[in-house]
Amino acid sequence: MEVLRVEALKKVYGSGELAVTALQDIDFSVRAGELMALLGPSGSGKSTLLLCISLILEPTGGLIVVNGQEIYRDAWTGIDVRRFRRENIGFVFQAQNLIPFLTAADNIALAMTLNKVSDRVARQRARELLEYLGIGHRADALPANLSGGERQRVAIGRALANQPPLILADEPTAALDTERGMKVMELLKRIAKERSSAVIVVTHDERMIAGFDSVYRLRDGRFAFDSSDRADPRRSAPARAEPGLTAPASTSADGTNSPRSEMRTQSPLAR
Amino acid sequence: MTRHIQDWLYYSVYTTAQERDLMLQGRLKKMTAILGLFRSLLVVVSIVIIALLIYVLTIEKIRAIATLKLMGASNWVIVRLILEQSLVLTVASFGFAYVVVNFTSEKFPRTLVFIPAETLLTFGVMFVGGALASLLAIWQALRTPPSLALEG
Repeated sequence: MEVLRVEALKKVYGSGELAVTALQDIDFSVRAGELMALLGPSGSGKSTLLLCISLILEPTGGLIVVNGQEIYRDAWTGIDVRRFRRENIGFVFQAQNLIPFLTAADNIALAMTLNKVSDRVARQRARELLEYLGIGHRADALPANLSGGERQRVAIGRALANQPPLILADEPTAALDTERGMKVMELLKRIAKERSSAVIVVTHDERMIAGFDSVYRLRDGRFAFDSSDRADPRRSAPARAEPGLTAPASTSADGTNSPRSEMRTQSPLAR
Repeated sequence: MTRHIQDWLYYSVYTTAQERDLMLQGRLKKMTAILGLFRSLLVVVSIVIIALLIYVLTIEKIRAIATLKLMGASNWVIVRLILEQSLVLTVASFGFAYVVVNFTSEKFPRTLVFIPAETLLTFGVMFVGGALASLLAIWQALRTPPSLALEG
């Protein structure tokens, strides 16, 4: 099942001569259980794309469909975006952003109480989630008393709290060492498979994307083909379009794809 | 007798009722007004201090607020949390002051009479003031973009 579909997404900041095109011709889709990586150097448009698909930033044009509901078609479609986000999207942040004076369990329960789940049920489910994430014994610890990896697990638990079909993770390993970062990525992979959530991970660390179902690279606001993909097949497989999802990419000389096409690379570990 | 005494240049005669009125309308009224002015100033200063405190506490938590907004918390949830914080602080301050006053008033050089209605009125004014004190923080919180949560 398709959880997120983005078509011809465009975002322009400013207007007239000062207009800056941050995103252009962005097409992709993510299915339930799929793990997608979004790579790109700073200034490539990753954050803008994340903000657009988080339904925080209004694009300039295009289409966004989340969980079968059309949210944006050249304008917001009138849906209560905040409520929709609460029910359908989970967020994992680089800096975890846990509430410092709430325990690990309460941080997770908070996401559920925002969604009108009773306190008792929320607390019980929070503890179950912490068990699932392997830190059940740390349920009553404050974030300051948790390690970086444990904090990130709590943040993942909070993202899972309302069982959203889509999880967006913004640089979830940036504040962790390689070993802990790998463990967090393994956890996200497990979540995608076991809970059938679509997980989109924005990262700049290519070591972390082994085993991802799809890898998109952004460059200057467009999905771009990275020649290094061909050079080192262990890093990611040659670019290919997935049948039935997207049109084959037609890559231009400067490495960017043509309008309405996309470049999707697939990690060998995923196959 | 009264007339006889009043013939003296520097002496006057008052009845007990007149004496009472003279005290209430004159010296005591002025003291009450001064105390009222003090109380009003203290209330205003307390509200300003609470407002600044709540504002600083809100700024400290601005990232958490942005995270809540990103997670889909409604504006009302944010407003309620700040308002609760402000009112708890106000009520706690009032309670503390009330206890201190009750323990120390007898040591005060002048006799102080606490009229329950006035204490209640002061509490009411402080309660409303506490709510008003949170307005600046609420304004700041509501204009915080949820995208702040995504900044590294």
